[in-house]
Amino acid sequence: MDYQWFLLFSLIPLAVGFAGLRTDLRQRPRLLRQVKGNIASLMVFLVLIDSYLFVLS
Amino acid sequence: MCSVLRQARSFLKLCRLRFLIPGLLLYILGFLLAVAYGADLELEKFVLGYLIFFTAHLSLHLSNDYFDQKADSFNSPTVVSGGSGILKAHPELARPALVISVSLIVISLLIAIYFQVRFAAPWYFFPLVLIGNGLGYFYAAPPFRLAYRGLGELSTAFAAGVLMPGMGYISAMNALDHNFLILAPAFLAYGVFFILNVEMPDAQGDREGGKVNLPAVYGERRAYHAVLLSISLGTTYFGALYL
Repeated sequence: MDYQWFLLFSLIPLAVGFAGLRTDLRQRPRLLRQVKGNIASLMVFLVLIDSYLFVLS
Repeated sequence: MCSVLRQARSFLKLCRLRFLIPGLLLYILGFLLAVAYGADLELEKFVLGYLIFFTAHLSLHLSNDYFDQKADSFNSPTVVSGGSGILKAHPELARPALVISVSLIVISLLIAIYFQVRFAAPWYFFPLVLIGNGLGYFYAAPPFRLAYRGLGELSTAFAAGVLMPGMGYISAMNALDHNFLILAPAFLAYGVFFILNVEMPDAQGDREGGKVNLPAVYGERRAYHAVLLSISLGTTYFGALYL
């Protein structure tokens, strides 16, 4: 298994998560926006890994 | 007729079907990983395995809404958290929700027994399904009430990191071997990332409702540091595997 793709795809939620450091999490709308972004990035990460594994199999 | 349709619509909202998507993606991930390592791509195994998982997953949505009614009354539902909020507006759906939740667990276990016999699955297949159903139901239900005892993150991380992709892997491969287990620590980290994000918008309400979790106890800022730590650990682990 070539884990470089897993590593590459994992940079997406990592980048979105760290972008949240610039967000004022005490403000609920901003917190919600960040949380939605984090979860969406996790979904993208999973879709990409699934697609990679599909191509591989 | 209109009221039946309205009730059916409310019930669909109660099921929070959008939360089934990450579970399906994790199941597919496990299944395709097994296929990539040489397992046959059998549609019957894929569908039956997912039915076991789907019924258990749907059951936990209903039981959590039922047993979290008090805690959820302090929260406003959002796209990502706070329960469905349906039982607050339609308390008459509470009892059917619980009955359907328990029925779904029974269906999940019955299909698991059939799967075990039909495909000669390993001895630990049924116990894993039982643990998965138990973790889902007792996340909010007494006597364990994991989410109220500081065990919500741990149980969700285990479910999302091991059980969900593991269910897909074991359905295809008929075993849970090192090719899957080597990835489990990374998936555990992403499980923590997911549950902390879901918990954060509800921190205030969870505090008032008696839930014990990281954002409720330590606040959103510290919880966000834990989010970053978990996501960093996931990437670092993949980096270590690559090297």
